[in-house]
Amino acid sequence: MMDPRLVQIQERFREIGETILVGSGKGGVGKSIIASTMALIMGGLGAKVGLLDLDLHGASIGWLFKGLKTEESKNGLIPPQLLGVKAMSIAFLSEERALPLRGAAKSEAITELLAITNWGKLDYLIVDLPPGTGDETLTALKLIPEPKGVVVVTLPSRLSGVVVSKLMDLLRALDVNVIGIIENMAWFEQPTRRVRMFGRGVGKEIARKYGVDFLGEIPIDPALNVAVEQGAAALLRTRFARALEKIIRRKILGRSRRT
Amino acid sequence: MHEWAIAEGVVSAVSKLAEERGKEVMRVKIVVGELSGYEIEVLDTALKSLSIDTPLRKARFEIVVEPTQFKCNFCGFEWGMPEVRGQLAEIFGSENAETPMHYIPELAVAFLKCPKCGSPDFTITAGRGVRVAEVELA
Ligand SMILES: Nc1ncnc2c1ncn2[C@@H]1O[C@H](COP(=O)(O)OP(=O)(O)OP(=O)(O)O)[C@@H](O)[C@H]1O
Ligand SMILES: [Mg+2]
Ligand SMILES: [Zn+2]
Repeated sequence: MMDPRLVQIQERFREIGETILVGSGKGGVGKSIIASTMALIMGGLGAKVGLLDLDLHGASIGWLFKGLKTEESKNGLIPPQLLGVKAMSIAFLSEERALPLRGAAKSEAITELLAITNWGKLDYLIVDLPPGTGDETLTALKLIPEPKGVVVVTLPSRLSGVVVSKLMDLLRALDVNVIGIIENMAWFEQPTRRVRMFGRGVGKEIARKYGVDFLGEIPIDPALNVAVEQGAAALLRTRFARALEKIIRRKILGRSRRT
Repeated sequence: MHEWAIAEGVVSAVSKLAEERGKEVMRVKIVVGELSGYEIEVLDTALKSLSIDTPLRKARFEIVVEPTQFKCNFCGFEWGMPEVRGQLAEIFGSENAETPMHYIPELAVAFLKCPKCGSPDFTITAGRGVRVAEVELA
């Protein structure tokens, strides 16, 4: 018995240059905002970029892409665009309703989403992974052919380090490349000094332990959430976005292997 | 509308198999889940047009629609599409409307409820997507 979706997915990805997954294992660490902002920054640098939200439970790329609609075509669903970035999320189809899905059904939904989305030609596809190491993440890692790798996001805290290590172990076991570690919410800027609530963060430690790159730190930006509500252009002007852009230019685009 | 996309998947998958074996395809049996809402004629036309210049050029396509079955994870009730026609009509205006479930059958849990207990926690046990059930080579 043959599953035509698997062939469809292979063919879709033949049109996509590099796939970068953004994950953590831990919830609420900034995966979605990092993935979305990364897509917008790379788009702004002139690349053709797609952003795929694989969180089936929260419209994770949320606010920024709220209310966008896909367009039907003979060859699948065409993702809507924001500042030239094509974005796809199951939330565009579920009309913001809850999706109480169990194990195997989650895998089916992810497979379907990968098969149905008609990205066309892309230089980069940024994939926003849900928290945890469950069905969505496992299915994505199984079906996405030769991803460039995973950008792993951690908070500075010890607890985050423990949870993120579980994802690192999984990626190692599955032989998936890790592009590097980003430590988000690393410090908080006060007029006279940087406050590190968690002391020296765990990001560098994890990178060393697993022999991967430490990509950099992103500070807590109190203006971030207001900017997100104002939209993509405001988001790109935040301190958060500037810190991320530096990481992208130095550590991600700088060492791209073009295929 | 997306019959062409899935037809392309079917033709590529079967072509690959035939090429590997160095044979031609005589018959393909495709099982289509009722929930996917595919128009059989459109699917058939798409399959035939896409098969020209492939090892499927002589193939006969047998398309079978498999009725969709749901099972409630809460009360155990099992049902099919006829039992949720009313719900479909209410949400989408017509029981035959184009729905997001045609693209991703799992979205059923976002829109439908168990007709017996009202739970949205149910599983699609049959008739969801499209699969190639049989391929005859010669
Ligand atoms: N550096 C930062 N400064 C300030 N706020 C931040 C920062 N990073 C993330 N946030 C905020 O923290 C919240 C959680 O971020 P986000 O939704 O991106 O996390 P996530 O890891 O995707 O969560 P989930 O696990 O639920 O998918 C958001 O409101 C986001 O705007
Ligand atoms: Mg998220
Ligand atoms: Zn029930």
